[in-house]
Order: sequence, then structure tokens, then C-alpha cells
Amino acid sequence: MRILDKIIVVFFSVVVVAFTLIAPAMAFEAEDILYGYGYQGWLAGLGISQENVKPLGFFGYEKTGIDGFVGQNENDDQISSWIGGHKQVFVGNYGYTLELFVANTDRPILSTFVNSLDPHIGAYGEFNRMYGDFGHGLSGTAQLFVNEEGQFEYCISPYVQFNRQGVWRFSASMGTVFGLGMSYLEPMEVLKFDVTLLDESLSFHVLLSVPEKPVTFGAGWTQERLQSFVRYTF
Amino acid sequence: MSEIKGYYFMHNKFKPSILTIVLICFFVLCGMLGSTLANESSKSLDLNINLDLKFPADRSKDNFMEKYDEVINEIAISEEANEVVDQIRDVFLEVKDAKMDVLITEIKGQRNEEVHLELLVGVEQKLARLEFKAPSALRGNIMVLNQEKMETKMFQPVVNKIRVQALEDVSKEALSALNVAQITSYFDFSQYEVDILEEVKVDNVHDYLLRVYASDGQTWLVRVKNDSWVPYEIAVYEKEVAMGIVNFHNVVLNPELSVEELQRLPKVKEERI
Repeated sequence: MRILDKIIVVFFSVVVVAFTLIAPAMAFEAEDILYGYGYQGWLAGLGISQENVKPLGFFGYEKTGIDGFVGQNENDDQISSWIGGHKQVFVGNYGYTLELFVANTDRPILSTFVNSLDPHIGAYGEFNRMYGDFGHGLSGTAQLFVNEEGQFEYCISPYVQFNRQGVWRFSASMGTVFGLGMSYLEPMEVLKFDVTLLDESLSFHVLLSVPEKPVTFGAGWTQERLQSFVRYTF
Repeated sequence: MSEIKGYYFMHNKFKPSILTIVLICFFVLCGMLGSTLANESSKSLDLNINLDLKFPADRSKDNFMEKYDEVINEIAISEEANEVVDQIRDVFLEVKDAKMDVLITEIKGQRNEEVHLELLVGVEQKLARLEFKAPSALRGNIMVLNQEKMETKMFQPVVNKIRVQALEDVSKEALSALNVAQITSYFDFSQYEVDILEEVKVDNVHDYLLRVYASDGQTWLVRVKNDSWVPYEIAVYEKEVAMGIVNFHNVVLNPELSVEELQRLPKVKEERI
């Protein structure tokens, strides 16, 4: 069996596992349409999400869900897509997240920023521990590309977090790429931004939601390329 | 703690009411039977054994008087216990709201687990607010219970969000046990058998240690001072095994808390589940 066949088998196995995990999560659903402009011209896309929330006593809850999107750039023949299943557990000041995904674009940062890549399967995990207003955690991503090389990428990011008029997170990234990052989440989640410096490449993403309205504006600057979009959730 | 245990076990060996009655009956019967047997023996048997039955008869009389005094004293203590219980109940009878620091120590074998929280209760508003200070796994978590709306709002720093949840989804057991509107009734011990184990007077303030025989085989040791009549420590025992201790500090009754104070939570996004 060629390496590509092996990867495809793994790819479909992961998809099956992801759907099995997410099967009970059919309580909530949301769709959104995306329209934007970037370095590859105009972009249109559609996103879906379904999530189930289960209480864990007084102090915790568990979320299981699936979300994904498909998008098409004006100057790109390939359809960009990302689909992932996740499980999040929060009990008291502890939290963890597990996510499996298949995609041919980057894992969304804050929202949807399309950056075409080779098809790949990946996993994301995060552990978070708070002590009231401050805390720390560890997140990690691993991606296996479905191409001839079977390229493997990973990144581990320890971080510290402060809750001061929102959530401030400062992280360091180690792995296939090295760098530093900072993100901010406004208390009502109206404004989010994220700045990273990875291998001397600076990225900046910002997301602005309109309160009580299903509209979100986003913009991102990465690898000296700019993208912006408006998203409508229904 | 060892002092409490000592008192508990010392007094537990001696079941006052039933045992006292049995002892009194026993001594009275002994006295009666002793004198009867002595008369009968001297009449029917012509033996050269000279039994001095006067001594036990006198001793039983002494014991009887001793027990009689004990019973009389005990009745006096029970009356005092009732008085203490009534005082505590009366203090909480008129409570409309309250504010206090609560320290809950759960005893798990060799280790203790402590939960420290600030509790605000609005009896009329049917609201309770719990802000957790310790342990670190719960520090910063704030819970608001709204019994009128039958929902809880929980702020969790780990997600920096407020989780809104129906009370019935949280825990059926907790729901059945929790009644904000009648929370002060938890300090009404008049429905239980209560006695006073200790009374200490310091600076004209009487400090009582009460033993409350609660339901489900539990015994509570309640410490209360007569300057406020608000219990400041409740130790819970189950089958003579210490289960935990609840301490109340900085208790303020009727501080006139507003609905806003009782429902105060950080201004963050709410998520209804």
C-alpha cells in the first residue's frame, strides 16, 4: 500500500470517528454565509455548526459539536473547506478541548480566514486552568498532510491568561514553527483580536460582532496578504 | 476538634433519658426486692448465714438520690437547651436577608477539603448569591440562584462567561434540598432533640455547645454565643464519624441587600443551556 493510500485510509477513519463522536450533538444548529475580499479576489462561503451542551452538576458543562465551512475564491479553482468535531469540558476552573478536523485550508483563527493548503487531517487540544482572574494552559495542534510527502506539522503553545476587562492571553509557540502570540477577547465577545509572530512573520486578525445582530465583520493580515469579510448568521 | 470529639464520645456513652429511667427502675426494684427477699429469707430459712442486707439497701437509697438529682439536673439542662434553641429560632424568624462568610470543611479520612464562600441570601427576593474564594479550583466562580425563576446563573472565569441554567437541570437532589425562601429554617433546631454539652462564660458572653440529634442518623454539634444567637460552627457527625464542619463568620442579618447586590455578576456574555 502506497503512503498516499495509507493516508487516505487514515483520513476517512478520522472522519468516521469524528462523526461518531458528534452524532448525539444535534440539539442546536446555526448556519452562516460569508462574503469577503482578499488577495485571491472575492470570496463566498457557507458555514454550519451544531452543538450539544450537557450540564455536569453545579460547576460544569460539556459541549460536543461539529462545525465547518466551504468557500470559493474568485481566482482559485479549488474549493476551500474545513470540517471539525469538538468536545469541550469545563468544570470549576478547569477546562479542556479536543478537536479533530479535516481540511484543505488553515484552522480558522477567530473566524474564517481562507488560506489554501494541501488536504490534511489534524487534531487540536487545549488544557486550561484558572485561579480566579489569572491562569495558564497548554494548547497543541498536529496536522498530517495528505500528499506524497506525508508532511507532518505540530505546534505546542503554553500560555498565561488574565481576565481584566476581557480575556488576555499571551502564548509562546514551539514546534514546526516558533513564535509568540497575544489574543484579546472582550467581555461581551463583541471584539476579538489576535496577533502572532511566527518565524518572523507577523499575523493580525480582528473580529467585530454587532451586538444583538447576526452580523460579524472580520479582517486579517497574514504573510503580507489581507483578507476581510462580513458574515451573516441565521 | 479533638475537644468536640471528646465531648461527643463522652456524652454518647451515656444515653441520658432512657438509661436514667432504666437505672432508677433498677435501683427501686433492687431496693424493694432486696428488703422482701431479706424478710422472706429470714422467715423460711434457718441458716447460720448472717446476711447484712441493710448496707445494700442504704447504698441503693444513696444511688437513688444520686440519680434523682441527676434527673432533676438534666431536666433543668433540657429547659435551658430549649431556651437556647428558641432564641436561635427567634433570631432567624424575622430575617429578611443575610450576608455571611461560610467555611465548609469536609473530612475525608486523613485529609480535609475546605470550601470558602461568601453567601448573600434574600429570603423575600428568593435569591442567593455564592462567591467562591477557595479552593483554587473554584476561586472566582460566582453562582446566583433565583428560586422564583427557577434558574441558576454561574460565572466561570475559565470561559469568562455566565452560564444560565434551569434549576431542575442542575441537580434534582440539590433542588429538593434547597429552598431559598425558607433558608433560615435550617437554623430552627426545635424539631430535633437537643441538649447542651457545654456552657462557657467569657466576658459576660455565654458560649454554648449544643448536641442536635438530626434526621438520618446525623448528630450536629452546634456552637452559639448568646450575644447574637447566630450559630458560628456546626460539626456534622454520622454514626459517630465526623463528616464535616461548617463555620459562619462575619454574619450580618438584615443588611437590606438590594436585588442588584444579590444578582451581581461580572458583565460578560451569557450563555443559556
